[in-house]
Amino acid sequence: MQVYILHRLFQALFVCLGISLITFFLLHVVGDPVLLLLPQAASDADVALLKDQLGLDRPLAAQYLSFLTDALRGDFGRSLFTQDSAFALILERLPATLELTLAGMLVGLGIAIPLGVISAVKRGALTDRLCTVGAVAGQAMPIFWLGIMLILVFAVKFRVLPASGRGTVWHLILPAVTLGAYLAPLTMRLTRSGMLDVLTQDYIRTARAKGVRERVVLFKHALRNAAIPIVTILGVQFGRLLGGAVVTETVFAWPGVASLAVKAIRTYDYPVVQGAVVFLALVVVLANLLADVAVTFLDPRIRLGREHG
Amino acid sequence: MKRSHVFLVLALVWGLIGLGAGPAAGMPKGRVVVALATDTSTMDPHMHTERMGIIMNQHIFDTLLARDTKTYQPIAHLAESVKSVNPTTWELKLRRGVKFHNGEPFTAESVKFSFDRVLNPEQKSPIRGNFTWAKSVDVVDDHTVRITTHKPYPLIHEILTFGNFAMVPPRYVKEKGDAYFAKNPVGTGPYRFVEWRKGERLTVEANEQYWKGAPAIKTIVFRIIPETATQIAELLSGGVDILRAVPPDQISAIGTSGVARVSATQILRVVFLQMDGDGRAGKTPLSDVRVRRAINHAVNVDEIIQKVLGGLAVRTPAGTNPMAFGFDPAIKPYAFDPDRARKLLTDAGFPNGFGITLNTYAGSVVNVEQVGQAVMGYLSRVGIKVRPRHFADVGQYLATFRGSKLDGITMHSWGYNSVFDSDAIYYIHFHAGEPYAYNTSQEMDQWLEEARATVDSKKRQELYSRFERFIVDQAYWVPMYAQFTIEAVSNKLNYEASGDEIMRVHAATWK
Repeated sequence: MQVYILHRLFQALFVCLGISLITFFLLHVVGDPVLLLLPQAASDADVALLKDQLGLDRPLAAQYLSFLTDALRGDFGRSLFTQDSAFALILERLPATLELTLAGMLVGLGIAIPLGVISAVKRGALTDRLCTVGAVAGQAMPIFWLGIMLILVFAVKFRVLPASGRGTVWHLILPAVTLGAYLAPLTMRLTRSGMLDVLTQDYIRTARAKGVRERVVLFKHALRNAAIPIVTILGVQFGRLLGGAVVTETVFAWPGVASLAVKAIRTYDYPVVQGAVVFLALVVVLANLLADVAVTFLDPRIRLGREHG
Repeated sequence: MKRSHVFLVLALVWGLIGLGAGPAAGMPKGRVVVALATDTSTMDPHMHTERMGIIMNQHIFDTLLARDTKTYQPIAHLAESVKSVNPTTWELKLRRGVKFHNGEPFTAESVKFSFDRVLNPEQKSPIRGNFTWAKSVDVVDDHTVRITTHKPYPLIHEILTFGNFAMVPPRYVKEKGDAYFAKNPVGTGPYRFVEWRKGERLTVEANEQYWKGAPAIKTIVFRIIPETATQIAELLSGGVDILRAVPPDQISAIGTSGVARVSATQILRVVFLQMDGDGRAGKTPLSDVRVRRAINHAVNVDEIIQKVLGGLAVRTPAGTNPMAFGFDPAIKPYAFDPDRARKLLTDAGFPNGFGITLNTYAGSVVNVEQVGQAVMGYLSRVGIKVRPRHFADVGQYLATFRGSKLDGITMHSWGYNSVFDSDAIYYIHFHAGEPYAYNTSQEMDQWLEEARATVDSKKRQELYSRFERFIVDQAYWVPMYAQFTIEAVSNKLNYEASGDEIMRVHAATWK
């Protein structure tokens, strides 16, 4: 078990390193932040001076190396505009993003698992077909469009929920539903196929033959086994969810890390972009790691297989 | 006087006093929410150059002079007068009885401190470059200041309205330090600071002791909503009362909503086609004045204004904005005349036209793609084959521009840095050695320098008129139009957009 986790941690380290490298070089080849920072009328001497102050006149490799050594100490540099520590800015907005993604995940799972189970149990029936059509439609729907539609219906037309911002639990509903609807279709289809697979197994037939109640069969015996691929994929889904948060936070003016990154990209505040991307990548890697560990608890064969293998 | 009359007079006086002091009439009330797409980086007015920051700062701080919202002329504000003592000395008489929100009195010391703070190189104020004309600032008495300039400086009234150059409280800034001040601003303005949640909202509350009288609205919240569709949804659902930067295609939707209206007005930003007459980025047919004149005759600017911008733009015959000092209404633009354009091209040795680059960039020009396509269409009709080059990244565009690599024709725009004077646009685009100058000559340098050092406004106007006639004759630009700012306002409010793009929500009143 420990070896397995260490092995996964080691992999995670390389993933983070790769992401930092790609982010750093992409940001440094696409534009020049100095000219965006200075007024249009700045002289060439002003441009040269600011480049020198920001260390942007040094070779790229040297700049990357100092970025990496600073990042290891938790220092992602300072925002070019606010002069605040990029790490502090990210931490300040992290609770909002976690609140939104977790709420989105709850909504997503709350929709996907019951519908997936019903769909599998009622295979081929109208309910199953409606659920499948709903899932395909959900997957095809662009997240920003759904967000704007929800705002138009619930905020503009019926005026029952606030259109944007963060504050009360009412503010959380529309963005969480938007994000949840983004997560639900894939999870629902996975639940359905996992359940279909499990429901044909011998032990389910045995349980039913023994007269175990159907609800217990479905939720205790079948769903626990069908949950293994769902949990594994949830780690990956968490990454998708953060990707969805970029759009959701922007549409709903939600003050999270993702909208901070979007704003930083627009203004070319590269220390904040680097910090946010690397930090969010770390969160995704961590979520995957947690999902892997959780799976070992659901399925002892994985845990034991790794330990002895 | 009869006794009953005495009572009547007393009753009237009492009534008048009662009206003035009553809770209903003069007391600020209610809350207005303003949607902005981005936040500012600091609340310290001396430490940024951001438009959103200036808008927020103007509610908390005051400048020495303000701008009349109808004539756009500088008017008295914290300084009651700015008078020339000699060509390099100005005397400012300050308003008495003004206090900062922390109780600190506003005096000549506050003005000296604010000037010295901006001019101190160690402060690293990004607006320092706008004030280096000032040699020294001396306190004469508590309410009089003398400013000495290095050279005669005709733009002093303009620059003292500069949104960032707000008066800050010396004692508070010294005691609390810059970092604290940047997050907890204290000014003399109509609103006092309450809370700033970066990237989310700024809340300010009416300063009931404001020297101009208490504002009508009790609380103003500036909310950061990046997405335009969400801003509009908030406006229509009543969550937001004023929003900035409405896309032209949303004007009718807002106008027919029944809850809000559109307030649009002309702004300082002008759009023009700059040609590389000097051949700074390489030799092209544009070095020939006949070719440049042909291009001026080929483009139908009026049609672009009507069809692409829905009429929301004002033609600028010479390039300078009619709102800015130096504008000469006698100058007329080139007439749209494709036949004349073709003849001029033939005379210049290009009967079959030629190929040229048209540079455009994302950001400041409204409907940039459509305007660019229209220009390409007009030029192709006279035989000029345009190669479009669009810069999605403004930094890259400016680097190419400054680096002498922007060949051909460039659809450029200029916002004057909010200085309503021709110097703010012509010097940087026509004086030799300046970063955006692709058309230069000794005589233009001489006129520009002379205008910059002349205090007599009549003489300055003559210099700019002469300059404008020259650049129109030489057809260095295709002057196009001045853009509009389009804001949306709740029907509950009396508020209008301003031509200097400063949102004066503090002057708004309830209907």
